[in-house]
Parts: sequence; structure tokens; C-alpha cells
Amino acid sequence: MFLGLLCFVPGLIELLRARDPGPLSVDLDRDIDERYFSRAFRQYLNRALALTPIKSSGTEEIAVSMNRGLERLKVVNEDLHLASETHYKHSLLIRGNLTTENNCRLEGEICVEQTCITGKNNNILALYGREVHLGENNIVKGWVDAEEILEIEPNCTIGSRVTAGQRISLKGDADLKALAAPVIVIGDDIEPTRPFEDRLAPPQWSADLDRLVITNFDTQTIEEIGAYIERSVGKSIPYSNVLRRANQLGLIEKPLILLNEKQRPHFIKDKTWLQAGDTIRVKGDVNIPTGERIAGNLIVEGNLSTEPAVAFEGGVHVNGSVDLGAGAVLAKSLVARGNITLNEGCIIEQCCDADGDLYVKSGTRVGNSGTGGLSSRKTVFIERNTLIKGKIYGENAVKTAQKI
Amino acid sequence: MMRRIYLHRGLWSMQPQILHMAIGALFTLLVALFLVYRIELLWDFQKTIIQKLLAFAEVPYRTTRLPYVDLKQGIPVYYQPGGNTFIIPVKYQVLGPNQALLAIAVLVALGFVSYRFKIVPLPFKVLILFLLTLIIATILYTTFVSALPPHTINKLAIDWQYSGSIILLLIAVIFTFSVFPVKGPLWVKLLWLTVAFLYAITWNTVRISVVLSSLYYLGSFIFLLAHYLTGIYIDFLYIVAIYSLALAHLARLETSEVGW
Amino acid sequence: MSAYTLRHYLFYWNRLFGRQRNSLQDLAGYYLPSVSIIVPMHDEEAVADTILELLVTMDYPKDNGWYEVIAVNDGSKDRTGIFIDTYAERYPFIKAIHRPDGGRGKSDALRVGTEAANNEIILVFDADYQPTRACIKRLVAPFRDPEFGMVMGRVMPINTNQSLMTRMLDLERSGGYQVDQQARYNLSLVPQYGGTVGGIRRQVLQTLGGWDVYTLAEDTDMTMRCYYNGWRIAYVNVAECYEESVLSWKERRAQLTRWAVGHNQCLLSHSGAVIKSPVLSWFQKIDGLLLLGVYLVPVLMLLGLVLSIIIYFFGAYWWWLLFAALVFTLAYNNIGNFASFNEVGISVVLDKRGRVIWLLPWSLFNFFANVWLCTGALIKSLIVHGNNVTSKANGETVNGSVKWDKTVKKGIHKHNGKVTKLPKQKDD
Repeated sequence: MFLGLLCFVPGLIELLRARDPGPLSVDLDRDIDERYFSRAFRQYLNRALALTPIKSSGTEEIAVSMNRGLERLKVVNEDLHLASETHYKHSLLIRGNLTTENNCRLEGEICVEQTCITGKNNNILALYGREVHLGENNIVKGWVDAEEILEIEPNCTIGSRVTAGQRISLKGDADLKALAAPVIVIGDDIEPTRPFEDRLAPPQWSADLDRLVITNFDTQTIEEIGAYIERSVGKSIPYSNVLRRANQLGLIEKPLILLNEKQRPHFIKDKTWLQAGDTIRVKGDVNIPTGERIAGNLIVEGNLSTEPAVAFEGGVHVNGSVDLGAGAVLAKSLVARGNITLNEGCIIEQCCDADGDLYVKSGTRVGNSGTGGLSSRKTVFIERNTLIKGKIYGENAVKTAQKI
Repeated sequence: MMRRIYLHRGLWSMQPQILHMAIGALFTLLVALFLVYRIELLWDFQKTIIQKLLAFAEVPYRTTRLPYVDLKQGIPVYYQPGGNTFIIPVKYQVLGPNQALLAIAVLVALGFVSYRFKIVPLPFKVLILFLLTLIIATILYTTFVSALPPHTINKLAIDWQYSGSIILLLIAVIFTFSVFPVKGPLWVKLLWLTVAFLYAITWNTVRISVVLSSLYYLGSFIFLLAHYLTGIYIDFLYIVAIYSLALAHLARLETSEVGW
Repeated sequence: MSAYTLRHYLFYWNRLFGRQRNSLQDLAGYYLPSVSIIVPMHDEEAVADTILELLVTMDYPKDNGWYEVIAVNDGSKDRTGIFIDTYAERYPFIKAIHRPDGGRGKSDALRVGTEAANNEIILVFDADYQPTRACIKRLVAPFRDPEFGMVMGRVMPINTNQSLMTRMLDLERSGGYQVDQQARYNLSLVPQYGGTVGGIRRQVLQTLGGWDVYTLAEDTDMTMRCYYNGWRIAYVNVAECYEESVLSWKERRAQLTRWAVGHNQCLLSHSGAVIKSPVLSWFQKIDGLLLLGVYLVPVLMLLGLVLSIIIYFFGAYWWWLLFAALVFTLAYNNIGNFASFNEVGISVVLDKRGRVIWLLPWSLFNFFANVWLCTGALIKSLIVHGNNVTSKANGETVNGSVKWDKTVKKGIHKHNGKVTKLPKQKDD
């Protein structure tokens, strides 16, 4: 009896003299902020400076309480120029501009209120500035953040987040972890190759077209219906759009239907289902020929490859790998469990997520108006002359190169 | 110096400590070998303690050894021939049919009242109902089937000695898979495994002594209840308790990653 | 029962040591579809202001109808309606729906809320929930993958220190979400949409015919319909939300009975479709069935206890057989039953908590209650299911057996004291 009850004693102790009684701690006010580290550092600085009166001109070194405890902070109320081989162990707050020559070693965080331009081969812990220009071969152990524009010269390595309020420009090869800004340009700026909307303009369904679909849906293949529509009204309608319209017209009633050979496009050989009238699910590999246009979403349980200039009106999910041909256009997001390769000139309007590696060739554009981005649970490889509006994240690394 | 950061609890996982797990598996193997080849050592030790406890409780007994059971009979697990068991004088209790029915009626009424009684928390109500069911079943059995318990008493001790031995193997298996791979120092895991073993052996020894004593002093009726209730189900309780202490210890020692 | 044991150990191993899928959270905040949030309310004056205030301060673009909150006052007898109207007047993105003749259950309130929703994604929050500011961004992130039809976030009790019951429920929730749900998501099985802190793609909801007003568990019902029709359910472990746990056994009884009856209804309605689904693998089908049958486990355990009494008195006692049975019984009893406790244990490690796990043996009391309640619920669900089949066959639009079986919310824990307080009414 005693030994049995003894089992409840630790619990009883915790009940009566609770050491771990509260709920799991959650900061209800915390939002998603890519520039969190930089902001947190500046908040520390502001709090510390509010407690320590400092001069409004010249240079002063003070002890402040930071996140690591009490440490030295050098406050410079004017521009600062650091000569080659300069070695600073403490943090810096520069009210003016900062310029450094080559081979400087800055072991504390740096906050520059104006512009920061670093020379070659600098070794920095973490850096914030209104505008930041990182020189060649710089190594930053922590984060880099710019209020407006951040430019990064070739061969830089940055261990943590790279963020900017307006724009990040990567001039050459770099080894990074995560980047976030409304505009991220790798290499030179690119022009959109063709108007996106034109290629994905939804077909205008008239009563006549609807009648054609209704009359022929059970008897003809969707390709034949498409061709028939093209002959009748001179409009090219993608097969999957016919399917989608058939669903809207109530010709397909169930949420999940197995498509017969007539109902599925000719390039899909494996078992195919239509989900909710706008999602095609294929059990196998899919290779989409040049110039095809896929209406709605596509779920591929194998691998997906496309030849050039394929357009997707919806999102794409692939269980295997994806090889998107040159000039492909995707109106929503692309998610794959394997590797993804975006060949030259691809446009993805929203996000692109790979569980494997992600290869992005030159001329590619991802994201729109600061929403969108690339992410990989492994490594993101990006060629120059690409434009990402939003975020790039590689769990192992983000590597940029002339050619991948 | 980097700042200490905490990965979000929703996303982190840990590397299994394979080496610790291998040590646990080795330990389990050693326990298994001990159970197969040297179990008498444990039983002899238990017998010595039980004898002392029975003597202390002034329960007359004699010991004997059960016969050898061969491999075929013992499938799926081979076990050693015989073991110590205790034979004691037994007081058999039987209720008359009318008394039994009256007792059952009272118990049913008691169950109903306790169930309707708002102050009793639900789990206790359920527990009471379960106990009452068991008591009613015992009354029905002793009154209408047989005054003798459904199994020979002299096999009780050996039955529990076996279960008390097998539980050591199960504890080792549970710790090998549930505690040893978890991030944390090996000594903590070995410490709590040892505690679990000691508790299991103590529990088993005390259990046999107490149930034999209850049989001698309180008779077959209480023995049936005590035998059932302190049977194999209770082991689970202390395994969970010690496991929870071990994990709380490991969780406290868990350190976070460092970086910006 | 052994299948459940194996499943629990698989989940434990996967969650603790496996690679964690993060439900596309790397780009959370970079995909912002239009969102409608439905908050069904029935006598929620104690908590209505908290949830509405938190939804007002949510980090999400709110212009041009991109974000709308639909507060459904479903037959409330208290001041819930006044709270809703106050907020609706103040914020253009809050819509108030009053149903004086409501009160026919949450699924019916959701149906009405959905009819008023205009946006692509529909999220649902119960009135006593307190989501984090980033919760909506995190919840909608998986929807950029067209394979996901539904999403579920993590629920965490806030009033943990109020009673032994709340502490037990805290542990239960930890194991259920931190380990069970995440592991099922990792393994591409079926994380369950829990009816709150989650949502569904509007088009999927429409295609599947909307919320089933005949069921007591519209969440499980929709989860299963999504699942066997080809959509996956994303579990977002980082989308955290506080809830107010029930405090008394009376409330717990009502809550668990409702869940169990609803779940069993789904078992009776959807098992066949899960088995027949052409888009699920066998592994997924088995997990779907195990999920549907989860409230039968306590019933089976009760049967086991009853059988053990019978065998104890009348079982065969050839002792070699006893020995073989002893090994198996001991093994199942300890290793098998231990599996679910193990899940709770490691959830505490993953949450970096400590001594709370000392309460683990006390969970046995929960177990006794579950056995009793789930057995009662099984009987009730058979009756309810029969009634529903009749109601559906008769084309009745309202199901008499489904009604709000309300858990009364105390609103004890307010968010940072920021909530807007209404002036007291004169008659208060």
C-alpha cells in the first residue's frame, strides 16, 4: 500500500509546492520579424543609452548593460574611418558614416546611423546601418541589416540573417543563410521577359462555350472539346480549363473523381483524379510539353518536368523532384519534397519551397510586391541575374554563383 | 561571444544518443541472461527477506521448490526449474447464499449512492465501482462456485516471483527505448534505472509477504481481492513514476544551442 | 490495442529524433491569402472581448476585405451580442451575425458564419482562445501548397494552475499536440483539425458540402472528408494559441462525452470511405481508422478489465500457460500502456519544462474517468447515429440531437490586461 502510494508522492509534491505550475510561456505580442536580431540589438542600445548620459559630440567609451552582461561600447558622434588591420573588441555606435579599409576585425556588434562601407577581408560580428555596402571577402559571423539598401560584393560569407528595409543587391558569389527584403537582386537587375498576366489571362466563358462543353463533355475528350472550341470561336482553351469549367457547370459532382482517358490531357499517362474541380492529382511522373497551360492546381505524386514555356494557373505540389523548363510561368506557389530546378527565365508569382536542394537559374523572378520567396530544407543555389521579392532561406546555406 | 538562442519548441528535435541506447541494450541483454541462468540468486535473496518478513508478521510457513518445467512447456520464454514458494495454513471463508445476496444488494446500493454523490470526483467514482464489481465477483465466486481460490496458493509465490523477475527485463527494455536515447548524461539514466530495479525488487518482495500475511490473517476472501489488486497492474505505476522522475531530471539538464 | 501501442512508439521516436516537417514556416508571412475568421459564440461574455481584441491586433494586412472576422452570436442569452456589436462598430473588418433563434450547436453556427465569409481561407477560433499575433500568418502558410486542404495549430491551456484537472489536461494537451499531431504530420498521416485554431480552404469546404450540422464533431468529420478525398491536413506546431481548460469533472464529462460521441459518429460514417479511398496508402488508411477508433480504446480497456476478473476466477490455470500468458500480459500491460505516458513525458522534454512531469502517475485518474465516459459515449453515439441517419433520410435540415453542450468559460486569464472593457449596464 505504502509502496503503491509512494508513486504518487512526487506528483503530490509538485501539486502542493508547485515549481512548474504555469502554462507554457508564449509571447502573444510576438510577430514574425526577419529583422528581429537587428531590432533587438538596437533596443538594447537604446535602453542602455537611456540610462547612461553621453556627450553629443566627439567619441566616448562607456560601459553598458547588453544582452551578454556589462560590456564596453564606443559611441562616435561623427563619421569614423578605420584604417587597415584595425581590431576592435567592443561594440560600436556611430552616429555618422563608417568606412573601413581592408582586413579590419570588429568583434562587437556595430550600429551605424548613416552609411557603412567596408573594405575587403573584414571580419565582423554583426552590422546594422541605414545603407550598408559590404566589401569583397567580408566574413560576418552574425547578421547584417540595412534600413534601406544593402549591397554585398563578391565572396562574402554571412552566418545569419541578411535583411534590408528596401533592397539587397548581391554583386557576385556569396555564402549566406537567409535573406529578406522587398527586393533581392542577385547580379544585375533583370527585366520581366514578358507580361505575366497575358500568359495566364483566364478564358472568358460565354453561354455558347458553355453549351459546347455541356453537349460534348460525356462523348468527347477534353482535347477534342478544346479543339472544337478553338475552331468554333477561335479561342485556345487549355484542357484543364475545360475540365474546370465542366466542374463549375455541375458536370462533375463528386469532390474526387478518377478521370478517364478522354478526360485527362494526353501527356498524363498515369492514374489521374480531379479534386474539388480545380486540382489535378496524378499518381506518377509528369512531363508537360512546350507551351502547355495548366488551369487550377496540380499535384504530382512522382516527379515533374516541363519543357519550355509552360504556364500554370494555380499552385503545384510534387512529391518527387521538379525540373521547370525555361520560361515557365507559375501563378501561385511551387512545393516539392525533392529537389527543384527553375531554369532560365522562370517566373513564380508566390513562393517556391523544396525539401531538397533548390537550383535557380539566371533570369528567374520569384515573388511579387514583397510577398513570395525561395526556401529549401537543404541548400539554395542561385545564378546571377535573378530577382527575388521577399525572402530566400536555405537551411544549410544560400549560395550564389555565376553558373550553377 | 555569441548570444544564447532557443530554437522554437515547436520545431526542434534531438539526435538519439545511440551509444547510450547501446549501453541500455547491453544492460537489457545482461538482465535477460541473468534471468535465464542465474535467477535463483535473486529468488534466494527474496526468499530470505520474505522469510524474515513472515516471521516478523508471525505467519507460520514452510518453503518448498516447484518442479522443473521444460523448455517446450515454457515457450515462449525459457525459465529455470522451480523456485521457492511458501506454503501456509489457510482460513477459508464462505458466505451463505442469502448473506451473499444481501451483501451484493448493499454493495450495489453503495455503488449507486457513491455515483450520485457529487462531492466524489469522477475517477474515484469509477474506481469505487470497479472495486465493488470485483468484490461482488469474489462474493459470487466464493458463495456459488467454490470456497477455494481458483488457483493453488502455493503457486502464488512462484507466479509472482516470475512476474517480479520478468518485470526487471521489461523495465530495462522501457528505459533502453524511452530514456537512454534522450539527450542527457548517462549517469542520470543509469541512476534512475537502478532506482527502478531496486523499487521493483522491493515491491515484489513486500507484495508477496503482505498478500501471504493477508491470506493467513484475513482469510481467502481478502486474499482474492488483494491478490488481484496488487497483481501485475501495479508494476506499471512505479515504472511511470520513476520514468517521470528520470525525464524531469534530464529535462532540467538540457542545454540550449548558442548562436546569433 | 497493439496497433495503438506501436503507433504511439512510432510517434514518440519520430517526434523526438526524426526530421521535423515545419509546415512551410520558413516563408511564413510571405504568403498572405485573404482570410475569414469565424468565431462562433454562445454565451461567451466572459471571454468575447479577449478574443476580439486579439484578432483586432493580429499581424495581418486588413485592408480591402483581405482580413475579416465574423463573430457569430448564436442564441446567446448574456451580453455577448453587445460585445460583438461594439467591436463591429469600431472595426470595419469585424462582421456581427446575430442569431436569436440559434443555439443548435457549433457546426450550425459555423455554417452560418461560412455563408457570410468572402475570403479564400476560413479559419475558426473558439471564443476562449488567445492566439499569438503571428498566429494567422503561421496558420495560412501551408495553404500555398495545393495539397493542403486544412490546417491546425497548437493548443495550450492557459489556466494550468487552477486544479489537478487543469494540470492533467495540460500534460494531455502537451502529449497530444507536441508529439502526436506533429509526428502524424511528419509521417504524412492524418493530423486532426480540432475545430479551433485551424481552418480550411474555402473551396474545399464548398466542394465537400460544408460543415455537417448533424454531427457533434464537425472538426473530425471535416478532417476525415478532406483526408479521404485527397487533401492533406497541415499541423503547425509553432502557431500557438492559449485555451481555457475545463475546471471541474462535470464540465470535463460533458466535453469528453461530446468529443467521444462525435468521434464515434465519424467512425460509423467514414470508416468505409477511408478504406476505399483511392488516394490514400495502406499506412494512411490504417492511421485514419486508428484515429477514428481512438475513443474506443478506453472501452476496450474496460472490457479488458472485466475479462481479467473473469479469467482470474474461471481462467485456465495450467501453470505453463499461465507463465506464457504472464509474459505477454506483463509486456503489454507495462510496455503497451506505457506508450501513451511516454508521449506525454517526452513532450515535456521538448517543451523544456521540468517538474510538471512528476504528475504523470496522476494521469491514471484521468484514465479511469476516460474509461467510464467513453463507454457511455459509445452507447450514446450509436443512438445519435441512428437518429441522424433517420433525420438525413427525412431531409430534416435541423438535427434535434445536436445542440450546444456548452463549456462555461470563466475568462479568468486576460491577455496583458489590454482588453476593451464595456461599461457596465445599468441593470448589472
